[in-house]
Amino acid sequence: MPQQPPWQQPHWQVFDARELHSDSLKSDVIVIGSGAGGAVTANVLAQSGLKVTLIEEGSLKTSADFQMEELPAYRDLYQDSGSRMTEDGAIHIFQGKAVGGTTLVNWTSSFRTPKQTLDHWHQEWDFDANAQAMQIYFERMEKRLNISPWRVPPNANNDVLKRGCEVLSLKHDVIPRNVQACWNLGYCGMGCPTNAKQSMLVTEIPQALDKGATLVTNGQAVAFTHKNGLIQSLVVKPTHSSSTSSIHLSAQHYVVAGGAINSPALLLRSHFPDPYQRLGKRTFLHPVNASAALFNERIDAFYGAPQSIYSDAFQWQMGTTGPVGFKLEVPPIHPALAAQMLGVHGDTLQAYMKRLPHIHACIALLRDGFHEESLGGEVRLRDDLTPGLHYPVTEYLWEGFNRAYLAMAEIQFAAGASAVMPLHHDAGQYWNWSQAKEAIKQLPQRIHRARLLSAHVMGGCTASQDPRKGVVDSYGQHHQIRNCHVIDGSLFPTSVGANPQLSIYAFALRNAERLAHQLTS
Amino acid sequence: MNRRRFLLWSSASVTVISGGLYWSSPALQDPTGRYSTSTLAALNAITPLILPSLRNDPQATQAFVQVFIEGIKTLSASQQKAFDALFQLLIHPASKRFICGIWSDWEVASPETIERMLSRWRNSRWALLNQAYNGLVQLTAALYYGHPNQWALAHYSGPPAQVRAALGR
Ligand SMILES: Cc1cc2nc3c(=O)[nH]c(=O)nc-3n(C[C@H](O)[C@H](O)[C@H](O)COP(=O)(O)OP(=O)(O)OC[C@H]3O[C@@H](n4cnc5c(N)ncnc54)[C@H](O)[C@@H]3O)c2cc1C
Ligand code: SF4
Repeated sequence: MPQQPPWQQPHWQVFDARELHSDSLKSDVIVIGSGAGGAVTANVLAQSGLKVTLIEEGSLKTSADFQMEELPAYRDLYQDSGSRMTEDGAIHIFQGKAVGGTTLVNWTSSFRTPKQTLDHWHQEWDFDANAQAMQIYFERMEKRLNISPWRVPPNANNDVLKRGCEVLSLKHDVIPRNVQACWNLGYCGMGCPTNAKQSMLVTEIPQALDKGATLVTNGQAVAFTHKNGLIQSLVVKPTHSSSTSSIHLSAQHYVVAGGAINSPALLLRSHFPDPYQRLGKRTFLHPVNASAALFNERIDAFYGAPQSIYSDAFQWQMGTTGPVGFKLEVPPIHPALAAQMLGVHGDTLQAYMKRLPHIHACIALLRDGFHEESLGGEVRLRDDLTPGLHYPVTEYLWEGFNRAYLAMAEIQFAAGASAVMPLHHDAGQYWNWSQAKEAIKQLPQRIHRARLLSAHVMGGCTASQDPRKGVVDSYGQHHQIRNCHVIDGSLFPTSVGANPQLSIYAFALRNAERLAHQLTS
Repeated sequence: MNRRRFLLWSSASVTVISGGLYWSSPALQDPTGRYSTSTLAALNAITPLILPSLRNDPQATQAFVQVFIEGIKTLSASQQKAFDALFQLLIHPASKRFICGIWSDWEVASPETIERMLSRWRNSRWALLNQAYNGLVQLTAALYYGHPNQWALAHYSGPPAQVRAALGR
């Protein structure tokens, strides 16, 4: 039987923002956002005896609420009900919005930050970190979240990637996952119904609450008021209140952990000093393109641990800063996402959907931000003060998407696909590798035709010891505002080059411990 | 299984349209927030061409169009604006003729003309039309096939029964 959701402890302080008045909470530190960065930070600070308030704009939903259904999950657990996109509509962006942040809906793949990435950050970005110094933080987070390589055989969808790589002698490996007693169901993206996923909801947040932290749900941090380099208060608006009234909360120190896009947006709305015009710039996406394939046998890509095999054969092949590298993985395929990603209508849509159990898909996650021409996107505020991400799809990326379509198709045929369909409006169904190879080379490199998405948003509050290069230092301390840290995925100077959650956990652990030390000594 | 409320989600963002093609046009919504009859007529005509299982079933089509409209209301303000702009395109007399290629009322437009419109939008070299196609078709497809009533069409039987039983869902 699933464990009882740990959300009924009488001594916990959990409020809906509607219940609060200005200055009704006394705290040493206010942490904004309860995802990977915010939850670890709140827990570390609470364990060191500080009075912490954790503010989350999403709702509190627990395993009992998770119905293993896409549509309610997108509506309730994702930013903009799952409809977030880059401003030109070219890339669909998935990010979480609930207690636990994106960790509530992620697919549990847990990689350490690659050494190449850490070296690059150190050399190019004056980022204080290296693989040796970070090792202990990776190890500790792996232990806290029960991360280890998935021992169960991969589901058929992942097995295609494995077989294809084997046939082509491409390096591949098993993915480590943050799960405990996982039922191998496949619904991680809709909230784990068994509490097997060691998301922030069942790990760091309950521990912080046990230590006296306060959790405020449905409260959006709108902006800070500040003077002479110090924040004076935080303006919070209840998300579900019809009134426009907001409340002011204050503390000695503030940690921004709303995730990329949202964290820089909060600082932009607060008119933080930005003497070198860094804020919101260099936002990265690991932009993803995809290739579907038909198999005669059932793949049932909706069942089983969603990601268990990956290949980095194309990740560092051409150097850290050369043509864009990519990681190969597979996505879970449930009906709504499939119907959307197919990008066709009428009889063609119906015919593909009928074959859903026989569809496999492979995705390539492009490592943006390493090459000097790969500048990522910029977060800007719209008229209504919500954030928009301007992310141009450049020729540099198109060249990578093209190589990725080729790599994925070759792997799919090698694994025995009867047909391969790159998810691109101008691609057809290809029946063999040589046909696919010729056709893919001709695919127009145009947005709104290639179906692109992102589940990994990073950067926008670049961390660097050099204030001319970064918004914050490597430990998340804001360069101009003294009582403010940023501790989440937004501080990475480039994309990670691996699914980012473990990188965010490990840096949050390191940075929060340093902050706790500063605040308590 | 619980009958779930309908929801959400799109890949719409037809922001270019909202920037470029916002003519003054017949009202999309009446003051109570209901969509105008001409918007509904356009959606009722187009939907069965996206979802063939709704062909020849006006009642089911109308019911789904309501789901679609409710779904739009859950999107961000900027996405809703994009859909409003898309609907303008469908009902403004000039764009209806010259961009959609529909010279009659939507109610009597032939399936062939509507199919031609969808294909043209998908294959156009004009990014704006690709984007309009993506917004309309992808949200429609996701909302339709995402609902448990339609899972069988995709030979998907949902979470295994023994799992649901063990979890009490
Ligand atoms: C479908 C999906 C699958 C993924 N799979 C994986 C995977 O397998 N492995 C992996 O490593 N990564 C995966 N990721 C990505 C990973 O989960 C995220 O990169 C990571 O959780 C980001 O952490 P964060 O702390 O930066 O922000 P988040 O975890 O996104 O948390 C930010 C939180 O802050 C809240 N917030 C934002 N602004 C405000 C505000 N103004 N006021 C109050 N609250 C606010 C948000 O609602 C959110 O809950 C996946 C992502 C998605 C969408
Ligand atoms: S696969 Fe495991 S972690 Fe994912 S939803 Fe199922 S039980 Fe939870």
